[in-house]
Amino acid sequence: MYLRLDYQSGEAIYRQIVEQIKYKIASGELKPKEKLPSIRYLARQLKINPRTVVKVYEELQSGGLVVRRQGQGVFIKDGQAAVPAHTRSRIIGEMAKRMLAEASRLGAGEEEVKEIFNKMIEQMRSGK
Amino acid sequence: MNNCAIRTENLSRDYGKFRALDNMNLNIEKGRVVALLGPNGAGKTTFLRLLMGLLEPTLGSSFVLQNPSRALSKSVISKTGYMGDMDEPPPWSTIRQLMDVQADVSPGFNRDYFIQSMKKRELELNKTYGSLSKGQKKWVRAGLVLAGMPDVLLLDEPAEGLDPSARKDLYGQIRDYVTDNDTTAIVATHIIGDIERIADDVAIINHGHLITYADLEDLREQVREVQLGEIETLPELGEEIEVLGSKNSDGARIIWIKCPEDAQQKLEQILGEKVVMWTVSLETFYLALTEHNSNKQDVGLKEIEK
Repeated sequence: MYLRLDYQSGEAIYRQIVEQIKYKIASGELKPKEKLPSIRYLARQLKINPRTVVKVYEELQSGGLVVRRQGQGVFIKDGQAAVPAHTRSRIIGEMAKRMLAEASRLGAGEEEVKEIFNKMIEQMRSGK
Repeated sequence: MNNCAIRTENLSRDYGKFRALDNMNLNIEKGRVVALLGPNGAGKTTFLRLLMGLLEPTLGSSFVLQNPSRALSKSVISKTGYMGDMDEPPPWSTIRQLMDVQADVSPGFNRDYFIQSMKKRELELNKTYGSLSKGQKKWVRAGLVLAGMPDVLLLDEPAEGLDPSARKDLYGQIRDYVTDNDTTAIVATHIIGDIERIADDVAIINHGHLITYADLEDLREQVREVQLGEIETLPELGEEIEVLGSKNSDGARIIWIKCPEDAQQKLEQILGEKVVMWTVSLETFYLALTEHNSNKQDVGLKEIEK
């Protein structure tokens, strides 16, 4: 599992890893039931504190994306998290609102946002 | 019960009339890699030498693995790996001889670890120390320290003068050692970029004062650069939000703040939509504290006793 950490951004390392794993799940690079690397392995690979990896896996677990099986490790959850459609729509709507506000602050118009959005969907489909 | 690897109480050291280290209070938990940062002459080397008992404090005291630095027991000395900037081995000795000497004085010395470490850099044991490049010398010295299997590592500019790739390898080896053995390391350096990748905590010293000691992940979550734009005076931010420093740049006013996660929404409300906020890298944070802060004594001191 290739993860890229950006220390210049100032973004918390555990957040960067959580986001990238979420993206890998959404794009299909990480498949349901697939086992994630052990805490020690990932800590060594990324040269970070094992506690940071623990925090990543806890965050993914509480978000319903992975399951921890005692003595076996952490696995990508099988099937979709059972979030009712209206709740799903509300959560994604909130995120879109924040994104659009930021886009307008940066001076991006409607067309540009749509274009970027489509490009991202395309990237995810091809698993990049 | 006691999870503390290093502790100092009002630790101070004078050289004549010059106070090199002033009233340092610090508590470092086991299992951490601490980046000890500060400009040249800030007191980093003095601090490490005080911990090792190589210097007497003028005031205060320090403890390594609960043992007072002024009278470290044999067993604590053997569990402490110190790499100073002055103890170069003789140039005519071979790497093998250095290994043998170290194994004699250090009861826990692990020859396999050392030999493996030399293999990683394709260093043959019959080479003399004097024939090695600067980077190879540092690698050998770090290997000798790590192979002693210490519980505490005190490293003074271990990667100074190395090229970026050698620096990355050396820091990687230190990080792996701490992760694998659940030990503690303090790495003193004035180069931020590489150490930031492996460190858990940062301690910043300037002019002999400890100006901050904090968890790096907490800093990434809490420290923000704020561009004030049209706002002339800074609104009242409330007690939980700390202003770290400020500067004027090309007509814009920049401030750096530290804001707990649960107060971030409140902060956005106070500052309104006109300001722009960014996360900051350790380098920016470091410069904010050492160069752009108006009140060097107080900043960040509240949280030293964790």
